[in-house]
Amino acid sequence: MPLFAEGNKKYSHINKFCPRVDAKEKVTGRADYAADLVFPDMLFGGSLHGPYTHAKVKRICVEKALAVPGVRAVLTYKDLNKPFSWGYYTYMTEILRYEGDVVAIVAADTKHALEAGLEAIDVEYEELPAVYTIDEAMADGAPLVHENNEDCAGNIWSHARCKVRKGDVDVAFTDCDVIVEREYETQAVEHLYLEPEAAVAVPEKNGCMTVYACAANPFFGRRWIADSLGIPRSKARLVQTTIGGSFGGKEELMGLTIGRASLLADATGHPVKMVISREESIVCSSKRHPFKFKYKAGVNKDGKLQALQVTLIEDVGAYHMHEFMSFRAVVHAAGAYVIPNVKVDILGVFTNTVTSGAMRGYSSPQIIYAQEQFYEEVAEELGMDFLAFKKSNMLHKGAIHPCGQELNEEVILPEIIENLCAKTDFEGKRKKYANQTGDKRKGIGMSIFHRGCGLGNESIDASAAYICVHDDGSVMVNVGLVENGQGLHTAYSQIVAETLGVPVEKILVNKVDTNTILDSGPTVASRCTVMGAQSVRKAAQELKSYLKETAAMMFHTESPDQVALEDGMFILIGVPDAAIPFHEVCNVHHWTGGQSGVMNWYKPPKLSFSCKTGFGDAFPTYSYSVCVAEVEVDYKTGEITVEKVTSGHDVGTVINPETSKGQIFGGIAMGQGFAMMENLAIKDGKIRNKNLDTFMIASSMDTPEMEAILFECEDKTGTYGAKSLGENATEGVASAIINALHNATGERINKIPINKVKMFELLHK
Amino acid sequence: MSGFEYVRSNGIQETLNILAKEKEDSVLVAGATNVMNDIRSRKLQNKILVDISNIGELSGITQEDGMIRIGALTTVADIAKSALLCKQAPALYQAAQVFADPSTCNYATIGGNIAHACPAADTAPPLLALDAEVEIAKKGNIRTLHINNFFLGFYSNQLDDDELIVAIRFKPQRCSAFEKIGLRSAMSIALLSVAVAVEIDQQEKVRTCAIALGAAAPRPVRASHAEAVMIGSKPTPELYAKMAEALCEDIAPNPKSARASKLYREVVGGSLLEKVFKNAIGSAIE
Ligand SMILES: Cc1cc2nc3c(=O)[nH]c(=O)nc-3n(C[C@H](O)[C@H](O)[C@H](O)COP(=O)(O)OP(=O)(O)OC[C@H]3O[C@@H](n4cnc5c(N)ncnc54)[C@H](O)[C@@H]3O)c2cc1C
Repeated sequence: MPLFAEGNKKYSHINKFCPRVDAKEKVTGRADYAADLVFPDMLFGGSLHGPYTHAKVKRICVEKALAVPGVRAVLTYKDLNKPFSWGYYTYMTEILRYEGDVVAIVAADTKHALEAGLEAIDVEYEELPAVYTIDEAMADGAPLVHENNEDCAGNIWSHARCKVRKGDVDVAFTDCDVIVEREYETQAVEHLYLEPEAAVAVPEKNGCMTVYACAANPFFGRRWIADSLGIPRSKARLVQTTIGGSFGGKEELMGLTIGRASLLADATGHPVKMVISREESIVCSSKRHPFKFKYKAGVNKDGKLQALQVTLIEDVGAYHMHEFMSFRAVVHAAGAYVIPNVKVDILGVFTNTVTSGAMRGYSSPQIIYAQEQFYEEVAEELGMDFLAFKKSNMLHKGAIHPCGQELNEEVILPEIIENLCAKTDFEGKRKKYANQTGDKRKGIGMSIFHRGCGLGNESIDASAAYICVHDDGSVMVNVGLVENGQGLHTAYSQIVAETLGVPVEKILVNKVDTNTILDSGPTVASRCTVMGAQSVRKAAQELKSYLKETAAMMFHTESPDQVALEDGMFILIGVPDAAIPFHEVCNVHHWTGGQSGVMNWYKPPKLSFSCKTGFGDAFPTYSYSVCVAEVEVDYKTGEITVEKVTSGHDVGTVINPETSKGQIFGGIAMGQGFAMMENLAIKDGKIRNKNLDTFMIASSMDTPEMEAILFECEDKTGTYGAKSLGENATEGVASAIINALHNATGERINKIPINKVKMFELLHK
Repeated sequence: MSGFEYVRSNGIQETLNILAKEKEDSVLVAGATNVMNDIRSRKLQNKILVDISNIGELSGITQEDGMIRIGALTTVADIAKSALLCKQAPALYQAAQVFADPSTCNYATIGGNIAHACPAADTAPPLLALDAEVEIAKKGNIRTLHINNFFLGFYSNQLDDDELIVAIRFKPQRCSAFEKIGLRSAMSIALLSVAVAVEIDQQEKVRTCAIALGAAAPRPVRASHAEAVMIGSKPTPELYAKMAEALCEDIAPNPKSARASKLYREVVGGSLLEKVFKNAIGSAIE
């Protein structure tokens, strides 16, 4: 039975509830956030943004600013050792390409002096023509966001180039009974982590630079330090502070802030703290990409999908360092269905607007919103029940994925659908709601989706772990991936406990310090448990083997295989009462010169995939999910109430049911916001809703009743069989809500978000 | 945030003296829920912040000589808890229930809400419907303004730089009600809000009727066209339809308002008004 129940899988420390190991420090306000840190003689750093979305600095004069009492340094692009950083991002620039670009940075003794210093910088600009939308950027003769840039063809970014070519769609379309074409559009969304970006750069006596920052990607943080100062990476150190949320967002602006703080610390010889304000965070940080979608499907009367052609156009904003994103987007463009002929293209278009980057899902919330509505529309054109249509085309074990991968692991979509249909009375309600009249109408909708686990072919999914025991039996773990609120340290503690055979209370997992662990890549792609924990498990296994040798010696037996470690006790197998507490073995181990620490590394097996054809094994395995939303629409006011969301996920092996459900609940709230509220109001390239009074996210009063259902299967790919969950939790919610709105109103919503005003206009058009 | 001075005033007279001296250089601070935003967005600069939040005599809800009197510093949280207002002025009580969030309500004052003169201010429509009077003091003088004359236009009112709102007074109106529509269920500025106060006579006809709207015009307004339809008649479905039609004349939002169109406000306003009207009558029957 795939439905999760504690004890289904025979484990001692995972697959069951364990309180979050970081809960106490966070709920009591003791956690150390970067903005709270204080160092002796510390200065405050800040940035000056230009008033234009596209402009050239004609003259910049810093004398007056330097004369402000308390100002210690003013730096401009002229002080940089090179003009660009990654993805043509700039620490300070001569050419402003969007509202968030910075022309100068200042360090001062106090915040007041900093503000006065920034105001005293004298800049003269030449405004340049700009492009703000995909259409404007792609028009003939459009002004260029990046002049003379070899990564661009016009405003089209040549790195977004992964595509899928499977079979021949053009031939297939001519043979199909029905062709359906639709277009959809999504908006830019702000992550809105509670804690905006903050960093403190501390110059060390030996010429090294240490930066304390809430970086979700500490090793890239280290690169930003080295890059900005032009020093070797061995002299750059990033220490991760408590992260108050990231959702994929604490990367570009975080990195630039790390670099700018480093530049100011280097220039002044003092520690420099940079804390980004909420407004600055919203204006300058990357956003969930706005997308335009063109879907075209060919189907036969029997309801079998024959061909699919998709064009994905993403507005990447002014800069971009995410060539990987196109990979995930194209691989998931067809959804969880079997289609013999597939053609997918993606275009990234530069505009003079806020930059785009990773946000929980990394393209999937947008794509699933479009595709799961699209397949309903295809079924409608065929005159078929959409669920029957989807089921008859759905991925299954042994099927060929739209990108050509043979699915050899379990695909438990039928079980999840059956369970959720029964739980929500899906088909009954759907029929009941089909012919409503009256002011208030209800609807129920579903989305079916899959997600490649971890990074797959997107990037290197390797990671390190270091585990040691002390002579008192306590265990310390250093890892390269970050706890950013998702519960990673709890999962890692449970996995170490399971592998070693000691209780969670004995284990301490440290935040990332780039000087203590190998570069393990970024904390992204819902990879950290499924793949990232593999090295943790391997290190714990190796360490245990050393400890068993000592225990064997203490039991006076030759063979360590005779020894087992359970519940914090070493026992001699088959010998009753032969037991030595873990800490006693650790003590002897240390004082007899045993190796008490292990660094281990995990690199997943290589996958074969071609970005030119989009063909091959894109991911090691996939997780499967179904989301059902129930809504009510008030025809008089357009008011949309999301009454209930039921979200079912195949997570392979549940490591911790409560933190898993926590991910799902948060994912539902975020998905609802994406569908109905969260929207950057961008006018002429400038963001108007820069704070929480105007950037709307769902309040606790808006969130629906939620039910999270966990499913498990036997898939050996991930750590202890675990699969991804963090992004899956949010990616299908918007499409379920949008489909439910169709059930309630008969209207298709081809552009989100849809709030009550827009719903009203749709109903009264 | 530089360029500000701060003084704490402990009494009404002291405040009036400061205002008389500093005039346009000063700005009163009550709960600071608007003032802080204006400082952050630099709408306010180089001011003397006169903190009046400590003045006890400016706060409290009392009833004397048939009038209800609410001190300017009374918080929205206090209004939301008032048993007196719940019975005697349900429109205002209901507005406090849907105001912001609990922590903001603990600071936000009724005086600050009307002084800020936001077209969507939540206490404004109830006070307009209740025919409230605003007690305004300045050094050596006290005047009273009808709330309808208090609001001038978009974020502007009749207060002079040296004036302080002391209290708001109105007659009890059991048959009153309020409702707002926002973009979410809490913490939202009204897209439209409606307050109604009515008196129904023995023949079930509307004897008096006051209808007020928030976010329907550059300032909070009375809906005189809709009122005229109702006065002297017995509410019927047909009459409600006429009221909704007449309401369109009363709605003239700022054309730049991007949050909702005039059409949206008209259609939604019609049905919202009918609902609030019925609620107001309903509170009489209870
Ligand atoms: C998160 C948030 C949510 C909000 N939600 C709502 C909402 O749902 N509905 C709503 O209507 N408003 C809302 N507001 C706006 C604000 O809270 C209210 O307008 C509040 O009533 C203002 O009162 P205050 O005491 O904080 O005023 P302050 O900010 O202290 O002052 C506001 C203005 O009034 C002046 N002033 C204050 N007291 C007096 C006085 N006695 N005499 C003369 N002038 C005076 C001040 O000089 C200033 O110009 C919200 C604000 C925030 C920050």
